[in-house]
Amino acid sequence: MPALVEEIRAEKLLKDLASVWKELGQHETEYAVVRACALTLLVATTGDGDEQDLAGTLGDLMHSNPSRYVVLRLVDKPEPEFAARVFAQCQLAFGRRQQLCCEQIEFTATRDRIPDFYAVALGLTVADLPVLLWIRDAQLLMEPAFQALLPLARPLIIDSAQFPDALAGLKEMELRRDAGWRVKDLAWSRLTVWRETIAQMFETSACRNLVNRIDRVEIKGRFGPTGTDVQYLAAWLRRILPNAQITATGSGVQRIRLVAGGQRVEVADAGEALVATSLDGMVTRVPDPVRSDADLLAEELSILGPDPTYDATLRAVTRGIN
Amino acid sequence: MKTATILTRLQRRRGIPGARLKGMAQANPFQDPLRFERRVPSCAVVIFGANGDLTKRKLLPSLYRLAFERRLPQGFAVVGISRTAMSDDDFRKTLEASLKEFLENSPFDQALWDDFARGLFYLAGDVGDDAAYQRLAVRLDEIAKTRQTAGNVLFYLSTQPSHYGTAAGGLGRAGLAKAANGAWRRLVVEKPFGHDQASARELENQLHEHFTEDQLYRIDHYLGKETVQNILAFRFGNPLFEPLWNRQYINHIQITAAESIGVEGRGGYYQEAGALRDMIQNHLLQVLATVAMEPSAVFEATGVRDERAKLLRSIRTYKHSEVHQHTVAGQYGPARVGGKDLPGFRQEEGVDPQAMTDTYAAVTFQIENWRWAGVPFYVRTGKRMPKRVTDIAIRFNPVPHSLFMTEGEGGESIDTARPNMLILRIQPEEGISLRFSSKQPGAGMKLRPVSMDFNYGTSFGGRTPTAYETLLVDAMVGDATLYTRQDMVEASWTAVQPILEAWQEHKPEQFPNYPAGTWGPKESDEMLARNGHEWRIP
Ligand SMILES: NC(=O)c1ccc[n+]([C@@H]2O[C@H](COP(=O)([O-])OP(=O)(O)OC[C@H]3O[C@@H](n4cnc5c(N)ncnc54)[C@H](OP(=O)(O)O)[C@@H]3O)[C@@H](O)[C@H]2O)c1
Repeated sequence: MPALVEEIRAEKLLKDLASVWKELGQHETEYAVVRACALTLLVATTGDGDEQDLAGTLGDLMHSNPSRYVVLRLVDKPEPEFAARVFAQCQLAFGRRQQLCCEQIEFTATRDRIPDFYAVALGLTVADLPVLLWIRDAQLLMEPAFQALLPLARPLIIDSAQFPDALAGLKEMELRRDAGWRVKDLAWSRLTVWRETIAQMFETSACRNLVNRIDRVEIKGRFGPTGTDVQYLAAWLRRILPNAQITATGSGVQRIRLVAGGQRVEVADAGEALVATSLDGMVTRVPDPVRSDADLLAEELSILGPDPTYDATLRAVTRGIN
Repeated sequence: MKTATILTRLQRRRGIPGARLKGMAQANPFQDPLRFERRVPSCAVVIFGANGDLTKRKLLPSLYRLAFERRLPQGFAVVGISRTAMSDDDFRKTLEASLKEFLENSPFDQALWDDFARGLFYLAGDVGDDAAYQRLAVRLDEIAKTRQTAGNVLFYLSTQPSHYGTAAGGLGRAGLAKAANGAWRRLVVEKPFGHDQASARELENQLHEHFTEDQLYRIDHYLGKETVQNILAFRFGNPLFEPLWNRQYINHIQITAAESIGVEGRGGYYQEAGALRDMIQNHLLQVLATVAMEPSAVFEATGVRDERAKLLRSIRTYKHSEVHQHTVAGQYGPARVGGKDLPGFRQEEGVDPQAMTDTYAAVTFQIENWRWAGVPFYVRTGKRMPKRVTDIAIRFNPVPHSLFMTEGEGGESIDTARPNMLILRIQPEEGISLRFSSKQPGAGMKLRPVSMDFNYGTSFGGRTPTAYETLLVDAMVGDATLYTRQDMVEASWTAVQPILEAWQEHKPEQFPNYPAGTWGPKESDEMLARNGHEWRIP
């Protein structure tokens, strides 16, 4: 019975947090402790075993987006469970004399306790600052029980690369977007370097003159079925080049080729860099170091307002224009 | 490091909301200005003085960083010019070595460097030799084709200031100041812009002989600092403070730029310049203008620079007879600091033992307009001060009637409410603090000053772009907002020239007048005390 679970109240957790800060201030003598907060990031994840990974991501993220992190870990257990702990993560900013600390509240709950979490989380968001929900396990978006949590935040962050059926997943996201949520996708942020490299190539007048003559686009992925990344790129290019014939296959983008008659420009993956080959064969190397979740989240968190290019692209994918 | 790369890009875009993207989104349908950096058009950068210190320390590392952050266009090349004979390959090797030495906080990526270095070229030549410009013209034509630089060229004068006019003339005579087919030519000039008003005018005439004002980019790297730009964001992005930003609420303003080091091998140069010329005439007057200017209607080059220039023109010009009352010159003498003997300025290498150079300068500026009439702007700068710090302190007026008095030792009434102070910190810990009064815990009603702190570094982690990165991109993009215009240079010389002349006429009797490692001469404290003020200790 749910009654077996100890009651958890937002005020109590906030009080515990206050004690954590007090203690930190008392014990830390060498470096000043700076409590920083720019937003509340709610994180929903499932299972266990990735605690360290997640802690690392949030630790990295806090440099750019010091936040109150509220993590909900949904677990499958025969008995109802609902537990919480509070702590602070501190890091010494490079070359500085201050420690930057962010607070974290971590819940473990069975699915039947989702409504309880909702009620507590309402009291845990930091006043007057943005609240975002990162659905770290994208499958949760499809779970009926999870829907109860969506009203906690307007911006939802998902990594659509996790969806086994790319199109079905993107359609779910589009549904939420239609219903007024601001949907953000880490799979889209992963494409920024590709898109920016193409845009850079078209800065030269020689390439620019080619735009209207591009009649064929090939997007090639490295692996099996078409992924959300390749779908996104295809939809993005279709909107820019409506007269081109676009072929897009696989996932894990390996190469994008834009062809105009006998001429072409190309961007290809070369490990830690992209290699861009422009019209006359001039080759440029563009650094493309692997981007962690923290990097991708930071990019998304920098755009809290409307993101017209992404929204239009998501719409284009799900309405099957490509 | 990856995080840093991305953050930098995002922050920069955020600096002044959307404003600098305006008017730049023409015709490239692949652009996504919300996520991509401002586009740098294809171009070649020609550096005069490419064998020098500034190129190695600042310019090349900045260009490499921009390449690393994918900010440079595909069609890009650098042509270095100085007298030393070198092949392109020698030049690339020299720069690779210096890059590894001066690339702070950033990774060196060999593959990226190899790619970047293919776009580096070298031409041996003397700025005084017209034939060198003919060779340069031929080389630029070739490069425009092989590197697709579209005929756009940014000339960067990183040589001795005495070469500026010669180089501008050489470029003009070789037809390099103008380009065909809609391509652009721009000229970046490093400070100093003259060593007094007359030489500044002469330089202007030389530059304008072949270049129009909108082709000229006078670099003041202080304006490229993120935190100086942030002053504008703070003032004009927050309606909370602007209504208080005037004589009605502000008592006075202190601008401090202190260095803990001495002249570090640059004694010869510094001895001719001095603190007033080296720091106040350019950097600190620009900072003052940024703090005090009116908002422009839009955030674009002409509007912002018009307001800065207007403010600089409003600075009261002192008569010679007034100068000593409103200014203080200082020079550091030897001292033992932290168990170490520090030489005085006159004992530094390359310095004349009788030198009358000011290594410290403090000036009370007065701005003659409705907003600031009667509010002193105290500006000080010096070498060998107790620490390195640049900040701006805005002291608000005291409360009109205090409720919180306490009794002093002699039975006199002391107000426990201290005036508010807003501190804009430029370096080293960039940020903003607001000092206000709070009740001291416990019985009674005693107030104590407390500080509310915003730290730029900890609120936005990651690496911020250096001033040279920002300014180089701006020049390539054609955005002169952060560059100094001729009328601004003239206006600041107008304010500073009488001080230089009066100091020249009445040499200070007792130099050195402050020991190394202190906050400057006592005359400087006295200057503020005459107005009932005192320097804060930053
Ligand atoms: N260094 C800094 O951090 C810094 C900071 C702010 C402003 N600045 C300004 O930037 C400018 C350059 O400073 P810097 O420190 O780089 O000076 P620098 O180290 O003296 O370098 C100037 C270079 O110009 C070359 N040069 C000299 N005479 C020449 C001529 N007649 N024709 C062609 N090239 C010539 C020299 O190389 P060759 O011997 O091979 O000809 C020399 O390496 C100066 O105006 C300075 O005031 C410098």
